[in-house]
Formats: sequence, structure tokens, C-alpha cells
Amino acid sequence: MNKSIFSICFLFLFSLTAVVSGQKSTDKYSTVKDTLSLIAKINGATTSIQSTESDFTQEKYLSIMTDKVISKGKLYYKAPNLVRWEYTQPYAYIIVFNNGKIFIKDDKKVKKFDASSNKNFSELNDNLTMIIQGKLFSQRKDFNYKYQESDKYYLVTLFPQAKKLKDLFGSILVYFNKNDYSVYAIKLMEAQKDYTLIRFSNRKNNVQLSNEKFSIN
Amino acid sequence: MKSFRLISLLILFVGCSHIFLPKEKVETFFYNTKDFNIFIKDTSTVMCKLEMKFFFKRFNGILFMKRSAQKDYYFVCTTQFGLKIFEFTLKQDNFSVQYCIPSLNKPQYIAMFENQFRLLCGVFKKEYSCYPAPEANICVEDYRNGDTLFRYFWVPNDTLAHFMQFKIKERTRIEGKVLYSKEKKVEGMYYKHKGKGLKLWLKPMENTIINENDSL
Repeated sequence: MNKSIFSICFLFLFSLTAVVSGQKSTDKYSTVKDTLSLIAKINGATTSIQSTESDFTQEKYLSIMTDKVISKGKLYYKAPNLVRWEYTQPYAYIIVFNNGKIFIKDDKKVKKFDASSNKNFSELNDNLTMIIQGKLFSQRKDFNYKYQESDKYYLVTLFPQAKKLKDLFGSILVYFNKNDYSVYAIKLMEAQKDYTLIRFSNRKNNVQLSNEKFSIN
Repeated sequence: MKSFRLISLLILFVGCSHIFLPKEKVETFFYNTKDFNIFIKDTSTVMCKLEMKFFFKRFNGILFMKRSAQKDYYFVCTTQFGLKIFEFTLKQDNFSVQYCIPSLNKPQYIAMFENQFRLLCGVFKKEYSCYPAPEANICVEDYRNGDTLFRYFWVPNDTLAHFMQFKIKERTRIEGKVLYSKEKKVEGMYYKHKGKGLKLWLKPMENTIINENDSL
């Protein structure tokens, strides 16, 4: 479950190369003609990234709720496999992936897990490594892809093929900025109408990040 | 060896006896949990931090609870990353599962969620009955779920209720606490189910950020 979600998130997050900001999408989408060229350009954008720092806004839509629920935070990545999701709203929550270990800080409580003791987390780590290596579209067995474009974005829609994933998601939509092939947003559509939308902003690549950032005491 | 067993049994009996045999006879106090509800006046939606642990698995997430005008209840739990863990509905007397991850989708867990959510919302089955224990400041609640009888022992005061739930047929036990504000609003709930190795803790969130963002 976690494997593919994290894979997709990190896959495209690490391909970001420029600062993007929230924009309203009213574009109409048409099918991309040269998909191989698009894939190559997206893959190319990931190769030089050694670290990333980005704000993110997570929007959760639930059909039972009249309003969307917004979470905000910051994401840090350092090659080869250090990741930190730091939620600041609606409450403080941090999850860190560090060389086979997982740290969670919830308010003042800190928990530490061994990733190998949990199959999902182990698979997640494997996927992170794969993504960091730039193998962006290597999960062809797990997904069918649909490529579209508008004036502003490329939209790659992934349709899960494995039953486990199908149970979780109807599709996963990834929006790339057309100017630099960076990701603007990821939308995880559930089987029903519910979805999670993650937008990235204020992103900086190849910044200095100390290893202490990926450890919680 | 025989005397050791007798002493052990005696200690066990003495240790547990205060639950059932209060030493002092106090005034009977009727405590109706229906007065206590996680939905305060004019509030139809509640968000809680939720932490679950059973055996070696842990889930941290957000629990959304909604009450409709028709007094139907909806419970959706997601992880921090937005993945849905479960979705339940409680309509009239019917508790149903809309979605639940496989590792939690077991009859005993679903029954446990049903029981606890009914407690939080003060919605009980028709078989439910609540009566004060004759000799103690304890309210005893019985209600049925299928063929199983649940018996709750509540020891409340203004801000705290301790409860123990005995699933009589299976001889399992759940212990927990519900924290209330002076306005009888649920401020937190914690319980553990020793038999199933399960612990659950939830706390309503005050500062939820809800707005209408632009959509993709």
C-alpha cells in the first residue's frame, strides 16, 4: 500500500527543479503525441538532484465532509535515502526515513521502527532507492499510463493494475509544469470520489542538508 | 504448592473485588452516558487524532466523525498521507463497513470499533440498557452485539469516566478512560484490549484547517 504511494510522491517530487506556486487549473487537456520524449525529459530532470527542500500543502477531500481538510508541512530529501516529512498543520507530526530506520515524532512522543520489520516500509525503501536512481517509469507492470497536456501542465495519469492498489486508488494524477518538467501536484484518487491532493511549492534543489535533519531524538 | 495456589487466588480475588464489591455503600448515582457525546451542540463534524496499536502494527491518523441532520453517523479514518484506513457508517441501528484495510477488517475489530463509536456518540442498540449498580457509585450498561453480551462498568465523575468492558462469552476485557470537559464534551478517549493486543487513543482537534482551496 505505502509502496506505490510513496513511490509516486517521491518519484515526482525529486524531479522538481524549479519553484512553483499554487495556480488555478482551468485548462483543457489533450493527448500527448510524443510520450517517449516526455518520459525522457522527466527522467533527465531527476538525475542531478542530490537534495531537495520543499513546502507542501495536502488537501483531503472526503465526500462526507462539506469542506476540504488542509495539512501543511515541509519535505526534505537527501541522497541516497534520507527523507523527512514534517507536518506543521493541523498538528506537528514528523516521519523520517533513514537508512532502514523509521522515526515518527508525534507532538513530543518519538517512536523508532526498523523498516525491515515491516514489509510495507521495506518495500517503500526499495522504491525510494529506485526512484532516486531516476527510474521514473519503471513500474510498468503495476500501472497503465495516460499522457495528456494543457497549456500549463503535462498530466500523467497512472491506473493501478495490481489488485491491492486497485482497492486503494482508482487512479493517480501527476501534474508537471511544462516549462521545466517539475511537478506541480499529485492527486490520489480513491475508488470513490474521495481524493488527496499534494501541491509542492518553494522548492530548492541541491541545498545543504545536515544528516541531523534526518534523525529524531 | 496447594497453599501457593490458594494464596494466589485469594490475592486475585481481593485485587478484583473492589470492582464488584464496594466496601462502602454510597448513594446510588444514575449516570447516563447518553448525556455525554463527542458531538457538542451545533457541531456536526469532529476531527480527532487517532493512534492505534495492535500486536506489532501501528497506525497514526486522523479520524473524521460526522453527524447528519437525520442522526446518521459517519466515521472515516485516514493516515497522515491521506490514505483511508476505514470508513464506517452508523444509520439507525445498523453499523456498516464501507471500507476497511484488510488487516483491520476482522469481525472482532469491527465489533470493537462499533462499540466504541456507539459509546462516543451515545447511540446504542435497542437491546441497550443502563442501570445503576444497587450498591455503588457505578453505572452498569449491558447491550448486545449479535450473540455477545457486553457489560460496561462506568465509574464517572465530572470530568472522567473509567470503564471496563467485559465480553462475557469470550471472557475478554477492555479497559479505558474517557475524558470530558465541564461542558460534557469528550476531550479524549483511551482504551486497550488485552485479549486482542489492541490499544486505541484518540483526541479531538480544536484547530482544524478547513477551507475551500482551488481544485485541479
